[in-house]
Amino acid sequence: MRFKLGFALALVCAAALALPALAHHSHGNYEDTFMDIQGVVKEVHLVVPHSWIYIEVKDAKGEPEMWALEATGRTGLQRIGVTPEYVKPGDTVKARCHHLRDGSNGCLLGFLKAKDGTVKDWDGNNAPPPADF
Amino acid sequence: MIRLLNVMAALLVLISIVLSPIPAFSQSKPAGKTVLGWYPYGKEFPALNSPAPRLPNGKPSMAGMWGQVRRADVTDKRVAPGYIAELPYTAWGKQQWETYDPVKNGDYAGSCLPFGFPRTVYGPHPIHVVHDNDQIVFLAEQDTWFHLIPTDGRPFTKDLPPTWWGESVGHWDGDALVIETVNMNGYIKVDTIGHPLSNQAKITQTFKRIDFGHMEHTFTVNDPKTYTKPWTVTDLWTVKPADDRILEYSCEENNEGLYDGTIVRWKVPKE
Repeated sequence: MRFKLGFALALVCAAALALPALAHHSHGNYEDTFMDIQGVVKEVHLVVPHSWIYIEVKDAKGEPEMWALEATGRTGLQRIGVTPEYVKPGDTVKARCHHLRDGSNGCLLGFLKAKDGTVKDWDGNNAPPPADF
Repeated sequence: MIRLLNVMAALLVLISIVLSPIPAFSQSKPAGKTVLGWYPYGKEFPALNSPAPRLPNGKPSMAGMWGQVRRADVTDKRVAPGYIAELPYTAWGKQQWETYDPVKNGDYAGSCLPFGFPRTVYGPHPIHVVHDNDQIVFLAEQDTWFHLIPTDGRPFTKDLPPTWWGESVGHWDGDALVIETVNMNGYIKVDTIGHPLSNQAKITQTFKRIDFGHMEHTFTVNDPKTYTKPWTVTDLWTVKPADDRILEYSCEENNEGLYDGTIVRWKVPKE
């Protein structure tokens, strides 16, 4: 898992946004399209240059598997009201994110619906929450 | 008699209230009070369309905390007006663009090296500008970098070694502040997607403060090694809310991939 995260970080360290047109150079290891995923938060790392949330998701057989969600850095999240109290281990959250192209359990946020039901743009673009999320 | 004294006393109180100094802020159109943000504590935050602040020398002040236009790709028309539709590459510039591969070869930003002026300006993080008669200072949240630019009429320094940010000096063209930057090391990119610059590049930026809340920024690249002719991108910067502020940013903090080998370490390219 760490290897996958590190590989992902290598590609995005220079980039802070996930504009689809940038896939060629900066977020090339993530799909351009979104997927939705829901799980229970295990760890939250509000750090720079990019933040990470680890969530436990049930796979098709109902078995738990760990997913890593990447977000913009701490400063961008702090600016939209994300604090260590906002998302904590044990919270059930829903994410809309770009899946890693290699199919492993990593995803680039996107939007995150917190335990309190609020939705924020964790990619730092201050985009409005999608109506169907 | 007592009633007359009471009436006179009441009149005196009323007159004293009417004639008392009125705090200046009550005459403005406050958009909100500052709460430990970038704007001076305790002062009312002006309306965004109120007049541009002025320096002691009468020129417009560019001071403030600004939200730039985030351009990860200066050719991307979806971001905002003012983009450059097509870049006029030289053969060398085209080769630089087509062979840029940060995944395979690493990228200097992935190694937390300085972005330089262009990529910082077009990055996602705000910039706090401090300005007086003789200098303007850009305090970038991105990696907590700064860039100090004299505006006192001095020329460029001779024989300085090239650097990531290069050397900048500023001068006035009417109410527009013109900042010219030279002596960059040739490694920095214009933007996240990696549009190239050489060590021959000269960047000219103009800053025109439209009002308190807005500033027009132009960014012109003159780099004969990379581009056949100069090109310009134009942006509208917006002042950040009073309670926002520049935050500490350390790229090294969690850049673990650089140390475990999963980020390709950037190396000085072989020319």
